[in-house]
Amino acid sequence: MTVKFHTKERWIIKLSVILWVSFLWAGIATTLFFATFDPVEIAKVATFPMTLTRASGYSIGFLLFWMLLFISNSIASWLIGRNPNSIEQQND
Amino acid sequence: MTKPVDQIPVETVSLYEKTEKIYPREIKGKFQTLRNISVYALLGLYYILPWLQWGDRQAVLFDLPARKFHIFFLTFWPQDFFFLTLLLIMAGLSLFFFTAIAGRVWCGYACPQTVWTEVFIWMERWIEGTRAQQMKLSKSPWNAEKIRKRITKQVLWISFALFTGLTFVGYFQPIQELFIEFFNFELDGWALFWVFFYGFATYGNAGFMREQVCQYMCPYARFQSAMFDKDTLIVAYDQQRGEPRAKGKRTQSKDTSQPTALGDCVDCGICVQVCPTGIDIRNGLQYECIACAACIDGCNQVMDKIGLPQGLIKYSTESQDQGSEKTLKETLLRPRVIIYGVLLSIVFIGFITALSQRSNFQVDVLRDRNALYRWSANNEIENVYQVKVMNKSQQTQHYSVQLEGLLGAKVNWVKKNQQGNSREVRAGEIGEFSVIVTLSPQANYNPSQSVNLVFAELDGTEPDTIIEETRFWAPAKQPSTTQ
Repeated sequence: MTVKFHTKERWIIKLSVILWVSFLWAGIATTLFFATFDPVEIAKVATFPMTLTRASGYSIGFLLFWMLLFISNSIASWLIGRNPNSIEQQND
Repeated sequence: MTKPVDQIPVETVSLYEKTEKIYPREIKGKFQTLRNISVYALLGLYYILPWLQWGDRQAVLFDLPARKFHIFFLTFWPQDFFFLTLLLIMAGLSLFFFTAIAGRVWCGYACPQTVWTEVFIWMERWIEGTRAQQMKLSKSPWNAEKIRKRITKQVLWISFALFTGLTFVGYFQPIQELFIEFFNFELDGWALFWVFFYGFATYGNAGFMREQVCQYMCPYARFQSAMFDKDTLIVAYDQQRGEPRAKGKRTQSKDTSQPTALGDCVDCGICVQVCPTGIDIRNGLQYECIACAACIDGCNQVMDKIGLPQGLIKYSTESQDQGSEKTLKETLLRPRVIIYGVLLSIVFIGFITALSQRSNFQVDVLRDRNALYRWSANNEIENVYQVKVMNKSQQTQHYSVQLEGLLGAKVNWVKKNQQGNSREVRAGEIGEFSVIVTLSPQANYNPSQSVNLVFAELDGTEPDTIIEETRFWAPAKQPSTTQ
């Protein structure tokens, strides 16, 4: 008997967990960061000419935090999965 | 005898079972009524709140472009971040408190994931029918009826999700204009992006992911067990009474003195069919259980039908199951609950006190950086300060300035647009002014000394006062003048 292994499904679960955890922390980071700094003022001190309204500043800031956390969490998750001693690896 | 490697049969076992779509069966009962009330109350609040007006503005508006949060009569500024921190601590403590008492009530009754999933399940039932009809439809080939039903369901889901997304953005910008712009296809940029983003998240989470969000993505589901103890309310199956389960009618009399061969569970499977996470509560407490109590309502119905007492599946505690005779009072007043309760009360009282003590305005004083001091036309020493006055109240205010700590000095607003001894700042705005302190060289002073600028509100019943400390600079005195 061979139990079918659902790589696709596991992949989706991993992706959604990473996306969701990154989303939560991106939200916290955005709140803390923009409660302290005004995006309009940040745009003024950019090293290149930058025009930024507050609304787009918040949105871009949030997406940037989310993307960074997503990349970081993905790599961490991938590395843990590559560890030859991990349980996940043994079941691959 | 050698076989190529790829022909050796390999047995792999998956840690993850293939998830099948769960079709929860509709059930009526007191706990489901309670859940429905909760869905209407919470979603009602969510969809109605941004439409309420307070004075000439939206009652609840998180005005990000202006960096102000309006909640009815309160307006919060980035400087009030402290309150958000307190609010989050209170939310955390409430979660601990209520989890210790009543287990996962949050999951079953109040979590947005549960609440929106309920609504999406309602819509699904409305279009596709009962559990059996839904399962039949999913197995049937793609005929005209299936296509029609599936399209109708998707249209309904997507419209509802978009409406949800629009309402969400309506918390951050005026909702009336937002709706008008959206339906005239004039909405663009980030607002449109967030409408679709939140709409898509609702559609995906409530329409498709459903219980998998709780099982794989939710951190609370993983750590809630740490807040459980033997007296925490859980949904439990009475194993002693139910087992051994068997199908069919119970013919034996329910005389307790005569132990019956069969338990009360008739193995009808209703408790499994109604479960939104697809578990069998008879296997004991599982982390997938969101404590929605659908199985309690289902089982009670069956028990009524076959003439046995209700409560084969019921809200219970571990110690109750082990035969403890604790009263409700004893169960509630245990150290864990008391500690959480006391902590929660302290933070709550602190929050309310801090909120009521919050000053209606805020002042920033910055010394003029160009010169330490200057001489006026009539030979007096002058210091200039840049002042930012933030009016946090709900009406236009006038502010006065006075000086403390330097005898003989005068303080005045520098004339700029406005005349008189006060300066006007409209509700929720920041006024930028200059203040000038003048001192006669004959007065008794030090070259550098600390002075207090006292700002006071002039309007309202309880005017606030703010004291800002700053420095006053003057030339060193000539020996002749100090005599």
